[in-house]
Amino acid sequence: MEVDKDLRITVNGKERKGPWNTAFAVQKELGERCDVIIVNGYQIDHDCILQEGDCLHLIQKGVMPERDQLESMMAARHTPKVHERVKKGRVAVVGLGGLGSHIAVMLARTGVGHLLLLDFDVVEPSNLNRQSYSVSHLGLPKTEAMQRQIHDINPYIEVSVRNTRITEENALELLAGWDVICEALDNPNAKAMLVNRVLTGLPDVKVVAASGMAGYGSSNSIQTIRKMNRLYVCGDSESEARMGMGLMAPRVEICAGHQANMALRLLMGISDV
Amino acid sequence: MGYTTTGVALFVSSFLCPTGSSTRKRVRKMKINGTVVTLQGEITLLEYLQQSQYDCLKIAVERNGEIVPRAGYANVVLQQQDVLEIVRFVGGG
Repeated sequence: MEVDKDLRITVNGKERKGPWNTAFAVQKELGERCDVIIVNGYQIDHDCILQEGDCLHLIQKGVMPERDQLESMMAARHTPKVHERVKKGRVAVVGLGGLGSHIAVMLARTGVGHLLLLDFDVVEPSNLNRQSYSVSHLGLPKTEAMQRQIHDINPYIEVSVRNTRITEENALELLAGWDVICEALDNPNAKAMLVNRVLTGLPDVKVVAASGMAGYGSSNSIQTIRKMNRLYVCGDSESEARMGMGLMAPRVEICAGHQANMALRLLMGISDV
Repeated sequence: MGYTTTGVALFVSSFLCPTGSSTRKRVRKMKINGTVVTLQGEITLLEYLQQSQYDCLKIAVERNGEIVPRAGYANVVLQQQDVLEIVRFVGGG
């Protein structure tokens, strides 16, 4: 009786079946010139035994891949199974300043399939100390500058923008239908307004808010806390931006990282911090 | 007074002063931001927030798992075993 020894695996996003039992064997047959081999989200430098269902990516540096392989390669280093799930995710980022611009970029890199970006402002020079913009973006509406950036990072996701100020009157209409809302405003009254409005008016949505990330105090005091059933707060809850304590890239981006990671966890069905 | 007389006097006085038990302030124990807090007498959520120097425009409040709309702060009387979470927002982002 012949035993089917062929292994069913995915290579660069496509299902393949073959008599390979190790990663280097696949590389030899399908990607001899490739210098990067990624197995189940991890770049290997030694050969490893493959199993049914394993996911491989073979990448040749310096060579633009075929379009249908590019999206899969961009997700190659994700933890396995993450990409399929986050592709269906819908996250709104309210505010595209120090927090929001970085949250949006991180979620785009992660492959979150649908993003809504809201801001009314334009990029100006003092933004550049912490916001994800460059000199080439000066004068552009932040929504437009972010759209361009994200298109350059991950053209495979859907990005909607609204160049508008969020208010008590328009918040529900703007944010209905989104799974997770990242609050990335700078004014504390606006933060409170948004959180109250959304938690009251959109019963299924989860909010990842931010409070306290100014200065260059200890990075370790920035945390994610689940304050309410559907409200997470990232920051140190104290370091208010004020005269003598400015907003600076490292701590602001740590806080943005907390928010983006919490949004990712929520999309993956995890509600713990 | 002997014991019997004392007993009768107390028994009778509880009828003469029917509100005797509620003239003592009712103590309410509740959890606020994870800490057990004891409050004396009836107090609304708004009064508690003001006494604790919260700025009502910069906070969100959840009581027993439900968010309390700002307009409702003055109507909510805090009760024994309430669980409150009060989030205070500071500027920056």
